[in-house]
Amino acid sequence: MADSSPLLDLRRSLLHHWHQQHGGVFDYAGTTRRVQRYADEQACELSLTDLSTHPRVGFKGPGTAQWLSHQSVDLPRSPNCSTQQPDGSLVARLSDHEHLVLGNIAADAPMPDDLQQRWEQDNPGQCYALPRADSHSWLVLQGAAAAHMMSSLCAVDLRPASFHNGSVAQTSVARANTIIIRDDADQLRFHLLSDVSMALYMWEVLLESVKALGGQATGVEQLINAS
Amino acid sequence: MAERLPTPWGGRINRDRAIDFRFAGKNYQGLDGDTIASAIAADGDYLLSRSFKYHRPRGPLSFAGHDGNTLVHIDDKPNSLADVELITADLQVRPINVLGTLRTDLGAALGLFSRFLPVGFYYKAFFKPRGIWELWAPLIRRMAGLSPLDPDYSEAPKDKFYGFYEVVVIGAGRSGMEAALAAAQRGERVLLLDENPETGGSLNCSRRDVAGLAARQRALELSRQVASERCITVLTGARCTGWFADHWLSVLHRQQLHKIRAGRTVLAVGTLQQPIIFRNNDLPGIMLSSAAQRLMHHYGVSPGKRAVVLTADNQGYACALDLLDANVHVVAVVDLRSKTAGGDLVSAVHERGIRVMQGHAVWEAHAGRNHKIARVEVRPLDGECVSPQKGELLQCDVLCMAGGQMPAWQLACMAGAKLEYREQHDRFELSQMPPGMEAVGSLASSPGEDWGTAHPWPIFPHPRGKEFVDFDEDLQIEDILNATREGYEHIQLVKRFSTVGMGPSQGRHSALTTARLVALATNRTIAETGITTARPPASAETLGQLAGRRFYPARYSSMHQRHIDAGATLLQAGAWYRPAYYGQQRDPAIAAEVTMVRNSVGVIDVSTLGGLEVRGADAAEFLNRIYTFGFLKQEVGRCRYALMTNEAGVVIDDGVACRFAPDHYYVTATTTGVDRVFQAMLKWNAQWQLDVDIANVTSAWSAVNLAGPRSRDVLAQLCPNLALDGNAFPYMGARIASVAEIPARILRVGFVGELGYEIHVPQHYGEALWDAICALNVAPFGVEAQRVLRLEKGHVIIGQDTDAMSTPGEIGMQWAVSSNKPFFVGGRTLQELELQELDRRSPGRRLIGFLLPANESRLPAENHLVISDGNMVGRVTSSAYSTALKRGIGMAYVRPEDAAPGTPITIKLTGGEQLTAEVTSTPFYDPENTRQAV
Repeated sequence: MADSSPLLDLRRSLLHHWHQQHGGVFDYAGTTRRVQRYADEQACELSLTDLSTHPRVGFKGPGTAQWLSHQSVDLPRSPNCSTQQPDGSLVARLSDHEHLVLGNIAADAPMPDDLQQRWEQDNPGQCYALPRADSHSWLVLQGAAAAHMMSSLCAVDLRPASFHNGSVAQTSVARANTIIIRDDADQLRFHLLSDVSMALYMWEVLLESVKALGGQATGVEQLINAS
Repeated sequence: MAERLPTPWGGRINRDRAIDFRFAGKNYQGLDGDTIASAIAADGDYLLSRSFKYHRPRGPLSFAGHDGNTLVHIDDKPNSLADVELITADLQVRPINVLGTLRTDLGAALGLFSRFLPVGFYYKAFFKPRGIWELWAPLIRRMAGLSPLDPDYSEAPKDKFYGFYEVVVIGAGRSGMEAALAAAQRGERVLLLDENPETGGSLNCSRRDVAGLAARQRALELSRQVASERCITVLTGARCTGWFADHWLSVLHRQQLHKIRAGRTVLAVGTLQQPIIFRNNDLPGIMLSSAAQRLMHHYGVSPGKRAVVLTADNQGYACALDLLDANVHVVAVVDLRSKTAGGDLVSAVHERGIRVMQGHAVWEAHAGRNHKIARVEVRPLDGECVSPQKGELLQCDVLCMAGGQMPAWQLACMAGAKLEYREQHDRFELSQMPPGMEAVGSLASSPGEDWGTAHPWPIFPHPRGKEFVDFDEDLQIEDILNATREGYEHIQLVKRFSTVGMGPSQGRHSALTTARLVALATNRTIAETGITTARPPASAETLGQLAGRRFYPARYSSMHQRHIDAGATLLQAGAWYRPAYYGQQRDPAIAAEVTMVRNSVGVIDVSTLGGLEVRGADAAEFLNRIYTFGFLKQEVGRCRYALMTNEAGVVIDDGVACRFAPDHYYVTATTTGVDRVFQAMLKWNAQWQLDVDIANVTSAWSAVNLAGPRSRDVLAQLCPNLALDGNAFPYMGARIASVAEIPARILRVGFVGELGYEIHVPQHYGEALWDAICALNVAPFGVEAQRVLRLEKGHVIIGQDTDAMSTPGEIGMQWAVSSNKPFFVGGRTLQELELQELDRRSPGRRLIGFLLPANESRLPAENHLVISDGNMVGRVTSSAYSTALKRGIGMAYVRPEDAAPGTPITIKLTGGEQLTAEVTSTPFYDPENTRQAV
């Protein structure tokens, strides 16, 4: 799935060097270059994956909900909820006037890029695009033990019985502001979005906890297969 | 190792596994499951430590971790409770508060002078004559402080754990397990926690019936039911140390802090058995009757060979029966009450032929060899007073005290419950339980339900004292009474003056007695006197447990790895890590980088600069109000310097506002100030309600400053389609273009005073941009070189050259303040300050530039003082050696009358040396700005 864009190889996750040093094998998907797998990767019950180069975008302002609705986006009915879109994208409502659009794990859902392009064309009033693809890192924690693991890093009750699928929490994880979205796919799965400049810090903190429970860093391949 | 009692005694020990350890220089052997104290007791020793003040020999009191008598030093871990800590192979345990050896303690001589060391002695004795405290302090500090701290000690950090339950039941005894089961049957998710290593609580170590079987049987039944209930999570060996708002509970479990949020809290923590106060009631071998029962039931250790049971209620009788079953000779049960209400246990004691001395008390205990109790003198009671006649001496090696019960009140009272004394029952009871909290079991039960009505006054003053009320602090009856005589009549003041209840026991065994004594001394009832406030923690917790795993969020730019590869030395700015300079030698590296930028070109990572998108129809009006300059007429494609003041007219930040569209500004802010700027913008617009959106996009953009005379040539190679000449892209211009094929915002600004371009690209392209620039033989420079370069240009750094009082006028930036706009934040204050200065009501100060003589090799540092006639009249804010000027330069605050160029100022250096500098106008370098505006 090579992409012809010359920018593709220039766009790197802040964890790029970590991935290289740990045997990351990169592949291309849509407008994304990401880690497909690590050289010594094993099947595991708890995984942490970097999706920071995957498409995502945010919109903010009083006119946001209306404009997104006109774009046929299925909006969550209340803040701190998310909805799955037909193309596999996920739209999280962070407040009455702010939404976050995440592409899918495979990075082939067109919604984030489409919305960004249409926003640039429409220039809708009181709806402002936010550069979420660059402002936030995107890590995915997957596995039945994910909630238990997070209970030592985050004060929000993320147990499946309390934090239902599709729920969104805007909170602190290991002292870093983080958006947590539960988005199960056969397994318990959390999307964790934090300030991108803290990507390496968050990765190392989370990975230490993942490893303590027998998990490991995985590429997108295992994440997709396990879903 | 002495022989243990046969099963079922010793429920916690594994008799098949012996463990060797050392205590006080002696080898001991215990069994798997033993605590340090139980293993030592099994060897017949009860001397564990020395007391805090008088170095009196002390042994276990509660065998439950409720008292400070068992504090010891384990390996490198100070102040551990020997009756809680389990033995492990080769454990090294040391006693504390020892001067000499545990058995021969030189500090014990202090006890001889106790008459002269009353409570408050320290407050009064060591402050006169003036300065004497300096001599006393080292001695007192050496004597005090419990276990010595190892400054190098480090505890392996453990994650804190957050838990959420609909019901948290604290205490897994009978009532706790029943409450947990009831909640689980309602479908509620329950956490059941207990400080003991097993469920069952006191059922496992107390006797409720004559046969002595019912309690244990009930414990087994309930424990089985609890274990089979999926809704119940059991946490044993867990201590709840505090209750906080909304049923937030701090729980320590295996050195880990659990932060538990409960829907509601059920307290099943039972009662605390109280000691009886008589002379020498602290000798090793004197313990609570429940402690003796724990020793036998949990560890299979017989507490002695000849026992006296001293009791104020029926619990002593249960202990006597247990002792008898364990083949201990019970010399007598000494009951303070003149008659009992009867009961099966009392009858059984009589039936088994144990001597019962009704209406008697122990007047004094005597020590034998090894400091352990050897005999007691028992006298009849006349009401609440001990007969003056010589009493009967009873030989014994253990005395078991049962002084009545006190509800374990701490957690309930932290939550707002009241502890009220019921005069008719002579005991404290909990009342006014807060919403969502429930007390069950003996904590809530009616008095006398378990152990009959207790004697109301188990306190027996002795003319020669040593009747200890608080073992932790070595406080005797007279100490409490003295506190009231000193005028500290309120129970809270008594606590603060005497320190009663402040030790490791937290008043568990002293609060009741203190209340009784203070009531007596102040002619009030015990109900009026009350007890002191309970606050967390209810028991000791270590700083390591509270800290948990350490989290230090760190921020890195997308070019970070390149800086590391290039040999950068990093500095920290907030959570950011930035390259200070590249290379090994600091000063030569900085000088080379400065020269490179002045003569050629260099690149610096400025990704940490704050970035804010201000968009909307009112964007210009918004900036016009927020910043001091005028922005309404700013052209699209132009940058404008932006200086921010707060309501007090103090400069709090600066940056550049770039207008990319009529309704779109991109504003930069300082690295450490952007969060504050963002908050201020949101706050003000919440009031102004302008049609504007503000977004903090600091991390979304990576940025570099390409600076130096060759910067235009370099940029031309990276974006060949962009016109870069001075007319097409003038100084303070802003463009959107591609740089090395990467979408970019280019700002032509000149912080370092050379031709230069700030290039901002989406964060994930930052490293690619850096690589593209460096591929053109452009070398990096760091923050330190940038500081020198900007100083040569006389540019201030907000926060370094300004402080919490700096106004634009003081720092020579009046030019950045618009005088013809109706409003900006701080404008009104600045007008007022200007008027004051005109009226000479406010002398003010000035930030000036200074030059050092060319032959001056010394360089003042930041915050060195500017002095005049020996008085401080200002301070240095920045200084550096200027390679361009070949001399030291700097900025400093001085008096307005010293601000004229050419004025000499005196700067006092570290160590008192002084040097003279000359005030000069700024910029130091290129004052005509010809280099940056080409």
